Amino acid sequence: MLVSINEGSRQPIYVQIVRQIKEQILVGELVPGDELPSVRDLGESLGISLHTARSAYQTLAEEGLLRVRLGKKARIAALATDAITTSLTDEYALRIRELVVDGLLQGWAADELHQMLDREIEAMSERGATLESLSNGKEQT
Amino acid sequence: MRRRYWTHLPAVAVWVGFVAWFLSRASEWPSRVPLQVGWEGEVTSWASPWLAFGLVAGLGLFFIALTVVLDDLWAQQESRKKFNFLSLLDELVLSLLVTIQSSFLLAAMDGATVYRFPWAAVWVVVGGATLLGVVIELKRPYRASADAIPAEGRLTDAFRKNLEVRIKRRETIVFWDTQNPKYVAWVSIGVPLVLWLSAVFAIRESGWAAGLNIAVGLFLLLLYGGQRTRVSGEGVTIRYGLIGIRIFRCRLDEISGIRVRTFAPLADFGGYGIRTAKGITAYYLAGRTGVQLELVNRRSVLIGSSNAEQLAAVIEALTSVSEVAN
Repeated sequence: MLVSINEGSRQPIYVQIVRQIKEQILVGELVPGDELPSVRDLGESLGISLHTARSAYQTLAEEGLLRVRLGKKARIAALATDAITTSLTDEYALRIRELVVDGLLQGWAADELHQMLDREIEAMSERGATLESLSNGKEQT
Repeated sequence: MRRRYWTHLPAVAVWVGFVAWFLSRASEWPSRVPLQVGWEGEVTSWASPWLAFGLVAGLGLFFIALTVVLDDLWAQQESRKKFNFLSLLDELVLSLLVTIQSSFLLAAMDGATVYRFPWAAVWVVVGGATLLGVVIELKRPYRASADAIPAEGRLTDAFRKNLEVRIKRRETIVFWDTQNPKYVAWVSIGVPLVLWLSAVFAIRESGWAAGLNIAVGLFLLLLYGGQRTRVSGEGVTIRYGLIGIRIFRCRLDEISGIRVRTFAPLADFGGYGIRTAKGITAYYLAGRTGVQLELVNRRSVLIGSSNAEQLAAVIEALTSVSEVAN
């Protein structure tokens, strides 16, 4: 697992960690069953508080991307990619709406927002993001 | 066919021979036969002939199965024909067990009071079976296993690009890699439980044996959690087990060379864990790929990883940043 912290970013540190782990899951660099470092290790290695590190893992666990059990290392969860429910659709619609509203308020044109979204999707595809990369678990013997 | 069961034929022949011989004379065995004999030839433990037979036959099957597993593992890792000394394990152990127990059975039938170690029979049977095993191992053809070809790395150019972008942004970069296969949990939890249970029974008879069991169990428990490698601006660190004992650490400026390589754990280093062979100290618990670091003090270190290309890319990138900074 590769995590880096950008001190100059306006994004909170725990959100940076969450985003990077999600990206690695999406492109198949992290697969179901992969073990993540402990909260303490994550915090100490990145020079952040344990609370921040814990918040990142908690957010991922709440979204069903991480399996966290008491006394055990956090692991990437097996993902149910075929179960897009109505509530999930609503949540994504809300998040996209927030981005659209913020973008328009900042003065972006609708076309520019479209292009930006397309560019991000393309960049993820270039890194190898496929539905297959989400369902392939890694087995260690 | 990857599995080469026929290389175990000498051991199987000895096992079948012993079982057939014992059963054919089942009605002739005395009610008690020696199970264990002291240095002076005095019997220290008696048992029914069926228990002695069960122990030898059971242990024999266990060692045949164990050797089949080890042989299979060897075949998976073999990239060219190499003499597999582990394939002789069942021939050696089984023929030794069978010869000793058979001599005890025969001596008991003759009403012996003092039992002697059957050196001549051991030389003939163990030597014969092992020699046959050596010949078969030498004669066996090499068959390339699909598993011997290393799995494609998961590194893409995009990973390198992504890494470069982060370095340009001067972000604090940390990379973690874990090797924690299932067998580590069995060894670090299952085996200590058995050892501690046996310590409970042994404590009245032998305090030091019980203490040794408890100590070995505690040591194995510490291995729980496997191997964790961390790469950051501070260097490369490998930690082991439950409390994360640091077993290796080097600063980035101590690294003079980095390369991704494949290896055969059994043939190259004789097993798994922390190993030293051919001037290389290796740290791995699973797989056959890793990153070999050449250090400025002329030491070579091999770090096992299923993400070896990513691990090497991160070390390489951070090392070049460290050189620029210096």
